[in-house]
Amino acid sequence: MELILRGATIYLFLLLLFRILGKHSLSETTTFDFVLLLIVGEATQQALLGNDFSMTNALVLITVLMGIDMLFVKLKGKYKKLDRLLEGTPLILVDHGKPLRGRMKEAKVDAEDILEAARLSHGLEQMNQIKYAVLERDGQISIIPS
Amino acid sequence: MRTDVERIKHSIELEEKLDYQLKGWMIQKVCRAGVGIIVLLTAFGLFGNGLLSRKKIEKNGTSLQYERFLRYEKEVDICWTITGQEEIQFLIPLRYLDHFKIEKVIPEGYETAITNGYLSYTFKMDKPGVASVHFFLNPQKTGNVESEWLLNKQIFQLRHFIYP
Repeated sequence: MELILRGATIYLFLLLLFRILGKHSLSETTTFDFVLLLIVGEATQQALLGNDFSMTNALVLITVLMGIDMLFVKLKGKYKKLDRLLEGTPLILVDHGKPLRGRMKEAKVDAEDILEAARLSHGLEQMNQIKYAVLERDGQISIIPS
Repeated sequence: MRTDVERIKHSIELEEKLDYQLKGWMIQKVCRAGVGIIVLLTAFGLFGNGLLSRKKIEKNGTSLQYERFLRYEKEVDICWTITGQEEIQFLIPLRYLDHFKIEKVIPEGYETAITNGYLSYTFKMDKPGVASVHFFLNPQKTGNVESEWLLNKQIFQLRHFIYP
């Protein structure tokens, strides 16, 4: 039981923390962000496993974490509100070549990120060649050319 | 709610829910402020090792230093400084020890006994002077712990909160 509580607590805590910190575009993800994620993993390891380094403990813990994740996937599929709460919603950042500054500021995305996505996905050169730019739920910027 | 966030009409089949986004951003801001406050309080010792956590009690030449906020299975030092006693006897309630495992007591060379719900530690000194006694305890249960230790029949109240 304690193992399930540990797993569930850490899972929910990380879910909440990452939701609070908000999504920012994947292009903004730096090498240091990955290092930080590794450190988060190291820090949670001890709390998850405690002093029990047996294989059974690890296997049970993995099963618990995957089980909770499966449950959330199922619940998100069933309840739209929960899905929006946990994953957010997509956000249009450029409308017919016009950057929507207020939205970009809130979403912490700058024009450079959008232009980079436009160059990478469609080879576009200028903002006015973009019909819509959308910050997707997973943090990617999708571009619809004019 | 923010008004400088542009509202647009678009032709994409997409569930944008701008009002929901605005609410979400507001909640995120409040929560980020909360995270900042927690970091600050942590620096001040809300989770141990800091101003908020450190406790010092001084009574008749005896000084007790301990941490108010502890963490599960994180060793803690209950430090006593005693002056002018030839024999020092600590009585620790067994109920208090339900929450802790005694890892080490320094100095060594003491007598122990269990009497009336207390575990006693008796130290004998060659001559009265300043003595320092450390109890290294390992928290084994979470939650609030309140107890009274007796040192040569003087009562010292200890209060801890053990985080999971």
